[in-house]
Amino acid sequence: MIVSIVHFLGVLILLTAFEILAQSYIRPMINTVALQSILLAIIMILIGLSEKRVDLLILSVLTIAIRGVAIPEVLKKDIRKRGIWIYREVETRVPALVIIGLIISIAGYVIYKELSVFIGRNGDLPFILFLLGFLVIIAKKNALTQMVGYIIEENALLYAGIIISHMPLILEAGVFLDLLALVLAGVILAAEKDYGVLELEELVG
Amino acid sequence: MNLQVVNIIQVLVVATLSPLMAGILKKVEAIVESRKGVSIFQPYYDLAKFFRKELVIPTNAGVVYVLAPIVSFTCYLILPMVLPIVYYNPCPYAPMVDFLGGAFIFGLASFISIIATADVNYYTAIGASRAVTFGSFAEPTLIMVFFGVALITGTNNPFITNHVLARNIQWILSPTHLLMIAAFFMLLLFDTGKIPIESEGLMEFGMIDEGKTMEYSGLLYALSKWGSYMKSFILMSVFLNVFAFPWGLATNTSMQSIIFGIATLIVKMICLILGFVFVEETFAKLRLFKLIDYLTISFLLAILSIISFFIFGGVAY
Repeated sequence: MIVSIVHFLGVLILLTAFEILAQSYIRPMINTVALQSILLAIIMILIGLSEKRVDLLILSVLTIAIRGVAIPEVLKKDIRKRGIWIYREVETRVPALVIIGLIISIAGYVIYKELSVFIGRNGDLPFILFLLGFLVIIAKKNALTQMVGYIIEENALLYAGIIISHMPLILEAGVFLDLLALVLAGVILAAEKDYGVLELEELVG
Repeated sequence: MNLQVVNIIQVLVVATLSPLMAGILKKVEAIVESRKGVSIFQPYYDLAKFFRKELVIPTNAGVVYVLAPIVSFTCYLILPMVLPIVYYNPCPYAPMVDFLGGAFIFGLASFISIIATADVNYYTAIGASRAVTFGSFAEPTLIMVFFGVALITGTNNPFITNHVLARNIQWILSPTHLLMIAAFFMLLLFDTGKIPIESEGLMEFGMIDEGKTMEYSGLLYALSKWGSYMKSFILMSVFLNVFAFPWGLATNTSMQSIIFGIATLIVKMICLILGFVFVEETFAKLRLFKLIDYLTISFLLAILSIISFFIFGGVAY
């Protein structure tokens, strides 16, 4: 029963990644990534309760507090502060991105089938999620969205850590702090400049 | 009761109850919007009125134009014979087609209505070309849903699918099946022209299905309207009986059992109509060029259902 709920939540997590890929406004995107982290925390609680592991329960509380609440709040505060973030993504390309995401998912599944000999079974969904996080970073053109893509990747790693093998708690907690520091640094850096949505464009010659 | 009689009962159920369901949908929507609304029997009155009206055929219309509503109506009369509508075992003609065969009969109906109306006038041409454009994006989802069903049950037969799903609750709750239901529901909203698509209005920007019937009048209009009610009814009962809620069909050919099957079908369909009303009242109509996004998302759900089948081995524990 627990296993089937965990599977279902895993598929929901994958769907949230696709939702972020297809979303063109920034605020719903941040809300979705918060939802994704909370789903991940629910998975942790379920596995923690069924395997009686206290560290996973602590980790789930940390996940909800930092990834579900703190980081989205920091990002949303940045949106509220500066009007430039209310704009939508310049190009949306929803069908193309979703189809590319699907191809990546299928490729991820096939590749993981080969990798699973070395890494461990059941890691398909985290692996696909990781690739989708890459795709979000590549496909989107503004800094906050790319930070969202980074959070997706971190979520994928955490997910893999729960599903495949037991990571020490201290390592996970360290990653959380890293992530928070990185988001803060990113927001501060973004605040220094006023290019906003198009800030990657200036890198193009 | 003879199986042939059951067969005829299924056809009659589809033909007679389909306008009622359209009327109930309109009535519930009106109640939700705090309106009084028209009677639930209004579609019957409408059909009776259309049958009495004079038949006018445009001068540039060909033979196919006249034949199309009759052929598509016949297709919708054939489909109840091969699908589980009220009786859960195959009727005499059911072994002739599987899911794909049923899709071909649906395809014939829409194909003939498209070629009949493609060049009659400006509005019918808009309707026909839009139906082709968006239909071609909807088709991959349908095929993927059929593949998903075939993966779960090992067959493409709707009756066996119904039996397998009704006996195994763990299939019903597996991510594969839930995603498939979601994809098919989105497709159902598209095919029956409910709100995110709203193909039934007469507004030129969003006109799809209504555009095709623009030039029809009298008997032919009545047939095509009745055909569209029957199409909705058949798709809804396939969704309910094969995918979402495979219980409650008649299990033997006795009179009580068949009446029980019809009654449960009506109850299930009213529940589905409540779902439709929820979607119609909470979502805004999509702009026409956004329909492809919508259909892509349904395709995404269908593909993810198949991927999750391979990742989890399909069955939930």
